[in-house]
Amino acid sequence: MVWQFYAYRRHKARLAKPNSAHLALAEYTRQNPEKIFTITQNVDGLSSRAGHLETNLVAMHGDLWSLKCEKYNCDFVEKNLKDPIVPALAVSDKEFPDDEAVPTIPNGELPHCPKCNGLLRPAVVFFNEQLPGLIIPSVLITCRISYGHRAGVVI
Amino acid sequence: MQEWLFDNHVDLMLVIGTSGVVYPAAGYSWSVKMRGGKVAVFNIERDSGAERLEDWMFEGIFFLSMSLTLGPCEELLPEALGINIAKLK
Repeated sequence: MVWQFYAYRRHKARLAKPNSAHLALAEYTRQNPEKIFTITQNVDGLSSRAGHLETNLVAMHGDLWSLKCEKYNCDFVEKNLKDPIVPALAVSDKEFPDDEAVPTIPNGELPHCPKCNGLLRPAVVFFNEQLPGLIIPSVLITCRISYGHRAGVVI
Repeated sequence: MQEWLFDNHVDLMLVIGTSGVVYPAAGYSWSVKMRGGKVAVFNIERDSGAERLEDWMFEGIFFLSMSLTLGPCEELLPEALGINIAKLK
């Protein structure tokens, strides 16, 4: 169910495009990389797709395009842009169905960790989860302007 | 992040697409203000999760001390940052 929801979110986020605000910020950052740092609460990856310098960007709630192993003792993380991730998670263009209408997917058909065979999950902070300890990139130390950003308004 | 903002001076924090009064963003605004920095909010609406009187007062103090520009961010941001989007495309 969680995976189906995230497969749907990935599918929808892929269809979205960075807007002028993403582009303007990305361009301003390219022109003034020592002055500005962006912390985004978005998980859609649109800032990256707008060409935002990765060194000046932290997605504090993770992003939809990274998967990590669910096992606490496994550190596997990967970038994964596939849609669908596995055949069982193919998404139709319809709205996400009600709880009752979501078919159950056998565990074996979900994405698994190539390292320990544990279940993979989106590297996104779920509701009620703690934020991971943010490793502040060294570039932040030299930045004099910081900046908070969330795309309630983005497409 | 909030600790980092307490320990380091930020001249100006732009809060974009969020009211800046809801945690965790509110904590960041607060930290920047405490260190003497400025906070500018760009948001489509002056939205609020404030339900109790204390929340309203808290929000009132916040809004009084922050620059608030209402409108669609895809229009406000390019102008505020002086970026000509048409030239980029």
